[in-house]
Amino acid sequence: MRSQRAARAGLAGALLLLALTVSPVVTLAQDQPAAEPPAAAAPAGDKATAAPAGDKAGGKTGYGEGFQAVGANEKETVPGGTLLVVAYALAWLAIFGYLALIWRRQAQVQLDLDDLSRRVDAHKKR
Amino acid sequence: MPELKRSLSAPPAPLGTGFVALASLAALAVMAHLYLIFVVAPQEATMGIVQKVFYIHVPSAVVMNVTVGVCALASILFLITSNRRFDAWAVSAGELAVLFAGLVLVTGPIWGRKAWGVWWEWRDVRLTSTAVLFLILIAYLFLRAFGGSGAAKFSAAFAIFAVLDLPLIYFAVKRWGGTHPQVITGRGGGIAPMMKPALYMGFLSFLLVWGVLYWARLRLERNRQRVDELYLQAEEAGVEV
Repeated sequence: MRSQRAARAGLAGALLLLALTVSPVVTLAQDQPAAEPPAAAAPAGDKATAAPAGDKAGGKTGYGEGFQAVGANEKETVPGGTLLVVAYALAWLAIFGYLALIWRRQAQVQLDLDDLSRRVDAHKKR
Repeated sequence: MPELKRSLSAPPAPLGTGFVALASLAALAVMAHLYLIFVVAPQEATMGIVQKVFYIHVPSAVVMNVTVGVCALASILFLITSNRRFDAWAVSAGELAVLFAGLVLVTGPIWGRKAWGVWWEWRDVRLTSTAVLFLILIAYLFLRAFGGSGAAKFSAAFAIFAVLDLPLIYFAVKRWGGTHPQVITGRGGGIAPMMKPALYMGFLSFLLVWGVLYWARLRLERNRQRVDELYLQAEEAGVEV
C-alpha cells in the first residue's frame, strides 16, 4: 500500500518534471525561424546586445523603456533558446534536487531514531 | 526510561494533509505559470525568447527577499526568547534563502549573457549586492554547521546582518542606476499587458513552491531537534550513545 502510494507520487513527480523541462523546448521549437543562416546564430547575440551595451557604456540604465511585445510580422533576431532551456532546467533541477535532499535527510533522522531505540533496548536488557 | 521509550516509538512528525494540499496547489500553479509563460506571454521585441527567463528570475528574487526576511525575523525571536522552535524556523529559511539567491544568481547571468553581452557586470550594484547577500547566507549556513555550541545565537545575529542587504539590493537601481532594467520598479516603462499574467502567476507559483519546501524543511529540522533531545535524555538515563 505504502509502496503503491510512493510509486504514484514518483510518477506524478516525473510527469511534472517532464512538463517543466519539455515546455520551454516545445516553445523554442515553435518560435525558431524556419531557415536561419548558420553564421547569424552567434553574432546575432552580440548584435542584439549592442543596444544595451551601448547604453551601459554611456552610463544609462538598460531597458529603461520597458518590455514591449514583438509585432506580428517580426521574427526573433537573437535566438537565446539554449540559454532559456538551461535557465529553466537548472532552476527546476535545483528545486527538485533540494526537495530530494530534504527527503534523504529525513530518512537519516529516522535511522538515527531507530539506532537510539536499539541502544535503549540493549541498555534495558543489561 | 519508559517515557524515553514511548518518545522513541512515536513516529516523526508527519507532513499531513495540509502539506499534500499545498503541494497540489503549487503543482497546479506551476503548470498555469508555464502555460502563461510559453503560450500566452508574447516574446519581447528586443531580447527575444531569452527574456522569458524574466518570469522565473524576478519571482525567485521576490521569494529570496521573503525568505531572508523570515530568517531574520525568526532569528530575532530566537535571540529574544531562546525558543528552539524559532531557531528551526530561522535555519530552514536560511537554507531556502541560499537556494533562491542561487537561482537569482544563476538565471540572471544566463539572461544577461544575451541581453547585456556579458555573464557578469561588477559595476551593477544590484547584481553585486545580491552576490554579497548570497555569500553572507552561505557564511550563515557554515556557521550553523561548524560553529559548535553557541553557533545558533551567533548565526542568528548574522541573519539579522544579512537582512540589511535587502534595501541595498532594492534601491540599488534607483540610486545608482546600472544595467538592471527597471520595468517593474516604477521608473521604467512597465511591461506589455500580455506579459503581466505570467509575471503575477510567477509570484504566486514561486511562493507556493517556497511554502512546500519550507514546510518540508521545517519538519525535518523539528524532527532533528527531537532526536537531539532524545539523545540527551538517553545519555542522562545512562544509555551508551
